[in-house]
Amino acid sequence: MRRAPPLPYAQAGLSDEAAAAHALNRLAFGPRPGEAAEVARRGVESWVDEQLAPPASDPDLDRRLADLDLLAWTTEEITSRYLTPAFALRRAVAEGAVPEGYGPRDAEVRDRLRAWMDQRQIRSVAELRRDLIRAKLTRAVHARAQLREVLTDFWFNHFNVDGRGGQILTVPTYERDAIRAHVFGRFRDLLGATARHPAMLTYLDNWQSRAPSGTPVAFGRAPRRGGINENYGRELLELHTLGVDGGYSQADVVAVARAFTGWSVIPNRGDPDAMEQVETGLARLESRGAPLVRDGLFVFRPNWHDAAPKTVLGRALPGGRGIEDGEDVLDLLAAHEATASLIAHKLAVRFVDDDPDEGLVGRLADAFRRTDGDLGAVMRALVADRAFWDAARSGPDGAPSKVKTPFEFVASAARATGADVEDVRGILGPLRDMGEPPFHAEPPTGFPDHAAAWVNAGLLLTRMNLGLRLAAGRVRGARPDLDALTGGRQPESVDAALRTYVGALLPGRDPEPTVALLRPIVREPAFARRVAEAATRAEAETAPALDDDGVFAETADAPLDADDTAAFVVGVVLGSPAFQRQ
Amino acid sequence: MLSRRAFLSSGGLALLATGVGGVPSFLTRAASATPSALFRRRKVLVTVFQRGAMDGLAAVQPLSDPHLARLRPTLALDPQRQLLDLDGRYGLHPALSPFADLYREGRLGVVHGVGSPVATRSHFDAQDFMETGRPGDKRADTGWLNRATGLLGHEPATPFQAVALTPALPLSLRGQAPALAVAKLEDFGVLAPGALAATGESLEALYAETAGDLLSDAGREGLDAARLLDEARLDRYRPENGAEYPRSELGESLRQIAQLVKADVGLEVAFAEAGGWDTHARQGSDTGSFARRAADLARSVAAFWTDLERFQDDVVVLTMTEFGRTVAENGTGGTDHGRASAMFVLGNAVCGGEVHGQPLALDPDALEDGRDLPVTTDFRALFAGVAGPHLGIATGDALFPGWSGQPIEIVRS
Repeated sequence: MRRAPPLPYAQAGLSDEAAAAHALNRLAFGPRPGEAAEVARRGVESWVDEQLAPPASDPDLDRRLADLDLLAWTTEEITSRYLTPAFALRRAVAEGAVPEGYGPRDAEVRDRLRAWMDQRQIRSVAELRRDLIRAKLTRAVHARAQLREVLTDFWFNHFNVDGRGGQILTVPTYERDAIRAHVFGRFRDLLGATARHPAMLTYLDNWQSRAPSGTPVAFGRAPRRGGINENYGRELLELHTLGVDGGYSQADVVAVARAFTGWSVIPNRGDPDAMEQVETGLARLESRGAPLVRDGLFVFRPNWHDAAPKTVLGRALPGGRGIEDGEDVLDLLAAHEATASLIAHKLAVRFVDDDPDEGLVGRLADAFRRTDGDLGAVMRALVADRAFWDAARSGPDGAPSKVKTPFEFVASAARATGADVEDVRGILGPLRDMGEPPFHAEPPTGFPDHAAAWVNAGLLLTRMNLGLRLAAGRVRGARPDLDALTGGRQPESVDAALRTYVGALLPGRDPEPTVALLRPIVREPAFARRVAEAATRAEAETAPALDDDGVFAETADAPLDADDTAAFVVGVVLGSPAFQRQ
Repeated sequence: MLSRRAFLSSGGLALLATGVGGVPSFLTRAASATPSALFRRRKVLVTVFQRGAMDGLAAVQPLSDPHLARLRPTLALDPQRQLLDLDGRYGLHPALSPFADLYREGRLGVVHGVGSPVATRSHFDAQDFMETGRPGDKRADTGWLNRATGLLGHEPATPFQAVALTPALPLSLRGQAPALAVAKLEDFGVLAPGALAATGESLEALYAETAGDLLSDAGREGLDAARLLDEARLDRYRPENGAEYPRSELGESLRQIAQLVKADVGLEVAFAEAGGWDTHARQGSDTGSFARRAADLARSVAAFWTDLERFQDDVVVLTMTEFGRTVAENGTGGTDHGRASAMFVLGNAVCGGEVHGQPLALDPDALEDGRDLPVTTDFRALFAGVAGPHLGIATGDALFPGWSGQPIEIVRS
């Protein structure tokens, strides 16, 4: 095999350690204590190679996630074991375990509902949400295959689904099977996996989209009732592939929606009777010879599929076909010029700069086209590009160009302080307050990936407070290991501590501006108290419950006490502008 | 000191973030600019953005269009039994009934067929175009409400001249003129500078300012406390005249805007938003998801209006939404992205009791692309027709660059 040319970081003026730190900031969720130096010693190239082709096994991560059995389950298993409060109540009422006429949180029935759930081994969706977020944060902080997790976050956001309420039930397998499994594979496979997944089919309404009345269908007689839903068809073109300026028309949106009629799901709300009814209906269809396609809860219903001829982006799709229509559209879109440009642009924004250089976007788009959408190859082209390394110094005053999103901030702070994450309840509230509750972006655009969305004084104060609390060990479930930052040595003075921790937490950067900025703060003992008071009171007053299961309603931990100088200095550095950049 | 206080004084306004330990410097700067302006009550424009694209035909439906029943077999409402007759031509959705009274009093006007000249059906582009007021220009990055604020022609007396009740500043308010985003007024005393988002701040400048405020008590000195925007008014605010706000995002936002209007803190342009209008599936007719959103809109605005009775001459409310929805219902009991929608304008000087705009015709030949209500009123003509006379600002190129149309006559100056 031909060896790839060396990564061009020296040309960008970066030392081995600065390059290692930059790679860890962008291709991972930030460096752990001593990690930048270690990667520099081992060779940045070899680390990057390993990230691009990570080993399948990660025993340490497996151990940390071992108690989360649901991560290995199918969607069917999850939907039959986890219920929303409303569905649990309905079933408990049906079985006579709980009297009628109450809501799931009414005091009169709460205990009996819980007892019924325990007895039936039914879990609540609130638990599912918490476990899923814990898995995401645990992977971000502890996985060896860091780039895979960074890319999983990126592609989930690109193909966003909102895990609001009961919709969270389909998210674990969506993330695992539709997204993570394909992040180094072909774009077409990723696209196809999202198109068939129940999470996407329900989120963008396609599961109910059917041939309009009077149109020929792929099986049976033309329906008397019916009609398409354009939601998925439009977002598929606008957000997933071509982009809003990708050259499609309203007629194309309609044609794409018609091509996907019949792409549906077997609705599973943990109601065995309803399931059986659907199954009986499908079995009857099949016995009559309908070309049903089933894959887990995905089902292609030929009797709903508009089999008239269609034209998509000038390409004729002949009439009389079935699931091939949708598959052909996905082929067409995945191979389209505009898709290569859109994906290249989004990757450049995420990994290089909010306003990326057009030359870089063009080179990434070329790599995408040349390799037929091989996403691993595109990432290799990205790290081989000088622009990637220039971004380590292209922000204000030579700082890195990108501001961390709230999730990146949390994960990188945990990594930087060597923290073990065992419980996320202390972190959910701040993530919600900072505007990035995991798996809970409502619009199909997902969370924004540019600084303007994340930079304002309120969010900054929350970051400062979280940094101080995390360093002081006051965030539930996240124990920092500050000794790891100094090799166990205690700095001799506050000034020495500042210099030491800035160096350790921000490897590969010029420490001077940050030391100068923070010096007056670390000499002001009231600072931590003021941040804590302001932010803690604000958090305590934040309205509870973002949605019906209340999992984001956790209140803040006890106020901070700033006796421990090392923790205070580390906390101040975590809250500094330099640490907000990557 | 942990009690939460905010002071207004003849020397300026300061909201003391006592937990934080100082007044954000941009607040004090702004507060000291033109003290006398503070007590001269000005007009207030309150805007409500309905994100997701409201179905204008469900909100305000023609009473006797021959095509409607066929195009909307499950969505169309019965003109006799369900719709609230507005003018013999149009009927209001029953969930919007609080609007019917305001309409009959002549304070609420409807404009039908409003939208953008650029035929995008993308939420994200259409919202951006409406917020910048520059349809088709994707590089535009200043909002029309920010330009309107700049055109008021006086320096901001307080930082509250232009306020969005949202966690981040909406594009409508981004630009040169100072504007604030306040997620929750109750947090203000605690969280300033935390609850604030000033425009145009870089991360580094923002940090220096926030940390500086946390370090020093200097900003607190020299302030002459003359009037309190006190704890009781923020925490235990009682709406007047028995107004009952829904406990929704919009209801909360409008309640807080009412507080700011009454507190006389220099508010002139306000922004609130409500989501959930993207009714692709199971939209419902007289009940259902559209009806729930509509009831929330009408009840929130009506509560706001009742609460503000003493100030009604100074306030105009304008609703907006990025586009309308398909005339025909889709296969899932909903509607897909369309073109024109309807917007509401409320105020004592509004030419109310009238449905403005070209008459709607729903036969397929009259529809855009054979499916959507065509845009017959450019949204800029409506926005200029409201903001111009109400705020007393110029409505030419400075408000909507590149637009040479005429404002519609909907607000008497």
